[in-house]
Amino acid sequence: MATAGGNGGRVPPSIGQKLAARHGNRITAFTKRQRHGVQQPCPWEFASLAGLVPEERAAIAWIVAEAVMRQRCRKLPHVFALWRAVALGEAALDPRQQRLIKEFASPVFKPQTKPNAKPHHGVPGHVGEWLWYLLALETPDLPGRTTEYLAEPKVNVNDGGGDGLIIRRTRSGSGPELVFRLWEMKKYTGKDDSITATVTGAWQQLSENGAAYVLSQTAWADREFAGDLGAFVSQMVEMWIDGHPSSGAGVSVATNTSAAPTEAFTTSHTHIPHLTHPGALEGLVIAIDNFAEFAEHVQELVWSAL
Amino acid sequence: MERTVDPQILAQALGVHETGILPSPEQLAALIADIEVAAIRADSEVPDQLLGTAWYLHGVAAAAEGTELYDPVRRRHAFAVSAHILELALGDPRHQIRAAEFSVDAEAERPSSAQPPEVIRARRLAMAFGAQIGYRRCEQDPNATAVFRQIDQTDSLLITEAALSSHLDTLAVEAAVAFLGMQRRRLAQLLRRWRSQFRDLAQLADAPNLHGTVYGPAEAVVDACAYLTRYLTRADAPALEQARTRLRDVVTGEAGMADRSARWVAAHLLEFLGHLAADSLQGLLPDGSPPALARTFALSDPPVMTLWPPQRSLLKKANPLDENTRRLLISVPTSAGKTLMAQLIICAHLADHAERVLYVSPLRSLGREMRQALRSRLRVLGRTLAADQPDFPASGAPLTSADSDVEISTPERLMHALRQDAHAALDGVGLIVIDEAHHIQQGERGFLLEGLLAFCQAHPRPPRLVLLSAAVGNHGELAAWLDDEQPPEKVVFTDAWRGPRRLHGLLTPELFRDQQVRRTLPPHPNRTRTTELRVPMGLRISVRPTTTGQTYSMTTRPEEPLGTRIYLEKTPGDTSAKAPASVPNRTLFAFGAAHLARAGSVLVVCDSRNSAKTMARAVAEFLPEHAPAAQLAEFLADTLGAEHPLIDCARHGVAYHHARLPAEVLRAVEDALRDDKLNVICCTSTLTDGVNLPVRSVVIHSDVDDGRPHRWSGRPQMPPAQLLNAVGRAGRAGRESEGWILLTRHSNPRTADYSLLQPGVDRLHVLSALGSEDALASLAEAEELIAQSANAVLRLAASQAADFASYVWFTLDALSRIPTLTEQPPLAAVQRLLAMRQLPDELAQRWMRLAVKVADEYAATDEGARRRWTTPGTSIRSARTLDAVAEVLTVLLLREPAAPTPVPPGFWGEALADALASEWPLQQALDFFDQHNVYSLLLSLPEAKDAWTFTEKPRGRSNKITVDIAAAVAAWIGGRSIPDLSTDWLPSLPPEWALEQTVSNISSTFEHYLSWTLGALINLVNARLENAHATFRLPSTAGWHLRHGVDTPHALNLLNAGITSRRLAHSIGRSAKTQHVRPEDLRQWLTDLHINRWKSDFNANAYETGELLEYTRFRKRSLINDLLDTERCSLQVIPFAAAPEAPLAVRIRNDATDTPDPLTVSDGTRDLARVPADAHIDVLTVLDSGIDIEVTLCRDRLTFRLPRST
Repeated sequence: MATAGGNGGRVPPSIGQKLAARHGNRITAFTKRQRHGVQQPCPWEFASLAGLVPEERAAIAWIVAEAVMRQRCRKLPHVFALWRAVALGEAALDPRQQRLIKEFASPVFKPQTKPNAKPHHGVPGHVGEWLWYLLALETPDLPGRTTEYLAEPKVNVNDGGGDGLIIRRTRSGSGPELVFRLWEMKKYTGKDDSITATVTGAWQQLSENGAAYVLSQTAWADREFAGDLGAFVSQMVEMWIDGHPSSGAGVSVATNTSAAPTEAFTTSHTHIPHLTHPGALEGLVIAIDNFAEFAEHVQELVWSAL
Repeated sequence: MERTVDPQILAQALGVHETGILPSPEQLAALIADIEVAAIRADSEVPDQLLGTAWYLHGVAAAAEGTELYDPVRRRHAFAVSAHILELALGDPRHQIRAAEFSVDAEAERPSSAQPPEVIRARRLAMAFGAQIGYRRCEQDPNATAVFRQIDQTDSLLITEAALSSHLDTLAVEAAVAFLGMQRRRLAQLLRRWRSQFRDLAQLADAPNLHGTVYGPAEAVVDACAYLTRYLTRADAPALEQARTRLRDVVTGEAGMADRSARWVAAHLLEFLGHLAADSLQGLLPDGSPPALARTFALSDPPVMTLWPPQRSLLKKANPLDENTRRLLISVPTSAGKTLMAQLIICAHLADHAERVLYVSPLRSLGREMRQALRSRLRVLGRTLAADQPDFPASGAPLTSADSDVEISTPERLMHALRQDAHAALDGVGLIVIDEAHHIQQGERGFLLEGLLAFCQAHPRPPRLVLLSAAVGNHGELAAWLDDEQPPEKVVFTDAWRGPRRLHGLLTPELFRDQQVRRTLPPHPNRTRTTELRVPMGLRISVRPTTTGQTYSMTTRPEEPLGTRIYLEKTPGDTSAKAPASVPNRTLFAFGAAHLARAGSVLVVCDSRNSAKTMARAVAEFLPEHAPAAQLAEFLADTLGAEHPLIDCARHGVAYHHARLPAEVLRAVEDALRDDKLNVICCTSTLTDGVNLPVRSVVIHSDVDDGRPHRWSGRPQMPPAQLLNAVGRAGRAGRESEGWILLTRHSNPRTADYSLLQPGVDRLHVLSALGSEDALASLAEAEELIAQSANAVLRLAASQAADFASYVWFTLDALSRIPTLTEQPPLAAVQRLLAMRQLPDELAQRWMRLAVKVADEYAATDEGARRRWTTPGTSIRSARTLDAVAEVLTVLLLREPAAPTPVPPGFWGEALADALASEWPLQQALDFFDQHNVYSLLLSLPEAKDAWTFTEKPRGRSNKITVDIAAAVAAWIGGRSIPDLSTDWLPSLPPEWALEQTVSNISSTFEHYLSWTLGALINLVNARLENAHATFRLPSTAGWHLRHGVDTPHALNLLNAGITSRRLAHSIGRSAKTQHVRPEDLRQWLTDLHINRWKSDFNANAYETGELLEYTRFRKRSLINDLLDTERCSLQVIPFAAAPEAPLAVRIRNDATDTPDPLTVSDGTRDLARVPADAHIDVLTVLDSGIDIEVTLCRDRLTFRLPRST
């Protein structure tokens, strides 16, 4: 099996689907994860999807595409089933069904039709967010630490709100019981193979707009959650502003394997100076060979029924 | 302004924080003030830190209610401050999408650092929603509408022409932004489109809805907005609960998890919904109010979907709708929604009572506006407005329209009606609303208003009285006058809230001293000023964002001076003599006005007609030609002649406005400003006192009366109440959230100058006109006269003492004629005057002694004369003169042969049946008046003052010019246009001066003085003819013909019924007369002609066509109420050949663009019928309501039904 490159000669979706199924439809099954910079104010994790064979890439792309479409169709399972069958080549669409599936596949993933247009800026970013989400979702809770809330990826790729949010409850006895971490997701597909500027930009963005980002996630959530979690969510903006020990920030970069660093997030704390308590900052680099092409692959799968 | 820039408020909003992410309250105040000031420079970048702070504050405000962390006051302030900043950020070019960026080429060219337009679009929508919800929640509701208008007009943020999937990420925010804008028509259009798209998609998915999918949250938010709209417009309580359920589904994620924006807006709307239910009109109306009442305001124009805070507070605190609230004084600033309060009180009274309502305004233009506004409200309520009759009643004509529900009147008209028959005039009147009540203190007219109020209070069955004013300082005193049995707080409602914030500033000349040049003048005999100093001049704009805070100032560029000031010096530094060639300060201020116009319309309030004109010309010099004003310029050229200076101004988007321009010109200018076709109007107080014409900025170019004694400067000083009216125009509630007010000063700006713009309460005391120096001087003269002569009270004339005596005479006559079981002192209505409560005892006693003298004289006069001297409404002396003239004319008339043929019964035929049958033709009567010099005689009465006066030059001791009054009357009634009359009467004068005098004389002489006294004389003559059992009468409506300048009963009928164009009325009148249409058949005849013939035959423009549609409208029916009450309604239409025999689903096509066109019923391919003209407005009201309807046609019946699902 050879590593992937370019976008020609895709592995058929059904192969990817089957491989994914064999691994429990878990991205983590294909991911190598390493902790780095544990002595830094901002430790980080390297999640590598590098060196995968086309079938494995197809499996990951399928997992992402299926998760996207499952979320979109949630309470209309027949629509999801229809998409899935067609995407796997098991059925064909009549014009009416085609219109229907198109409406569900279109947000973010609709391909540009104008010849001179740049690719939609949202696709790689959105795929990056899904990778982060699925990794977080598949990461098991630790003893004494449970995930109370993990924000699902949003369809609002153009808004200025925050990208990810995790609220965890720790019962270690030291520090606050509930903590939240606001995540900013970035993708890097540049030619310089350096994510430094991207990471710096993300921290600056969080520093400047963090309150708004927290807000975009929490403006409703205090209504959704009952008990201490609801009250906690109400206070998150305030905690963020005050650099409260319950607050935290993270930056995740989805990029090409070639741009994956060995050292990163070393100066992060200087860009977001108001969060100084231990554990306030965290980084994540998700690397996959030719990330832009991978995002396109997901897009093709979502769109493949059309 | 203070509301959000006050550091105390900012401190409360921000809370206490140790980290340095947020600015301190002082820093925040300075940052906001900087942007406010920068906006004047047309530079409005909002720093990121400020924007970040705004979002933080929005977060504070957004926390769920009941959260202990943030108390309600902090949340409210946080909403206010965040809304203010987010709105400012919408003006930042970095957050604006340039149209070109949407093109593919631009996409390719856009620098990689620039953000994609869709990102900016999403951000703009979020900022707009943040600002709107903030404004709604901090009780600055109109600003939420202003934000909506700003983004809906300038951006294409709300998408209806693309698939839902293309803007799903912002759709919920779009719906929320549209809903919070609460522009019913636009909102209905958007929601209808989006809901139909959702329905189509659900159908495609074979599902009842899209709940729980990626579309679910946006669908639920759109649905909720539709339910909320339905709740607000149709008083449909279950819809509120449906909205609540849908929003809750979004917030909990039940509707779908992927749309975070939808969850954000849903959380806000859910909380807002609770307030909406409590604060909506229907929530505030007393229990048992008919549903039609709330609908009246939501479904008419302008739509009222929620009330503003003072309006809500009025309903909550003052019980204005309770009939036990017998007296109420509402004193709120301009832009607080006073007019709507009046409409609410009127409509609520009508909804509950069979009694009629009188609305009295001393300002005719305000009355006209109220007529316009109420017309649409009453239409939905199914009630009617009375005809707009002239002030002086025609003999035999009903004083009030018994079949109408609301009468709009001036104090003069109501007083005349009372003088004719006080019992009939108030019979069946349950409520009188007096607007601009502070006019009580304005001399002659003020006393008339005071007398009217005193009389109504002394009436044995007094109606409810509601007084409105924006300029009353002595509430308690007026409250005690109105009702001394209640504590003042039960009688007075005040509220300091006003819509837009205000920024106060000064415009002053700026001397660029470092560029000045001095030169020695060549020697000349007698020359004492030997050097000349030339100083380049600019303009300084100084502003003070808070009343106590720092001032900011900016000047025009020194390198581009606006002119040069030249001093001729005796010694260097001597500034006592300016050379005539110096640039006048006016030019500098004109530059300022032109600059301000970039941000929105500007009103420059000047102290004289001439100043308004020269200022307008100066402003026009600084502005390029303005294409939107071309149509106005064309109209003005047709009306005033191409050479008139107003036309060139108009081409540059500038106009001037004063009382000596024809009414149709003033209206066209006002309309053009309202429609954003004009940028600047330079006006006198005629405009600011009388017309509700809000603008972005007001420049006060006048000296202001600061209450201190001053040497007479030759320029009038603007009194406090007038100033309040003028500055109150700044900021268009619902269009922008801030108004700028700038005062021009001729010297360097001083801190004290700012306070000139805010006169204190003590300067706004409403004082009886009887306490003025003039009135007391006239009292002293009267006392002296009485001491010398027995019947002196009958000879008082042309003074306030004469007006007082006439009032006393009237009340004696009127109160004696109103049947009552309770005996009242004969001078009860005199004792009720404000003056008797307000003046020192000694002065009040002196006035009362005069009243007793009048009463003595009254008692000594025979009963017939008592009446005859009451009815004309002049001084007793002039009434006696008129009575004597009437006696002579009656003798002369009885010698004349009667009219050969009786006049056919006219519009007033029913009312005047006896009299009209034997009336002389109008022309015969006019000839008779001419023959016996009646006009000259009337013009010699003291009340004539300076009526019918023409001079060669505008100013100074100019020679008078004689214009033949009889010929002028004939030409005016004959329909000759004003420019033509001006040429006829004053051929040798410059056209503009001739026109000004023509307009002014038509107004003072024909429209007011002569139509009144001629009418009074005719009444007196006809009464004598009746006594003499003569078989003919003088035409009782001759005074009305003179008032309106028309010669047919048809035209009179139209003008009395609200048609404002004399030209149109004349044209229709002539045509109807030629075709032998009886006046009583005019309405039907016009209905049958329909819109297209009105346009082709009478050249009716858009405005006139609208008025004719209202005139022909079938009264006493509300199609929309029928529809909402019974779920269906139908009407007869004009079928075409293809009209179906069985019910067929149809739609109604409205092809109108600028002018109304007939509404056509079509099945999509063929035109099947036409809506008749008399139903046009009602059908349009249904179509514009935004209510989903099904329409079917069967033969000539058009039926509207509410679909079962809605």
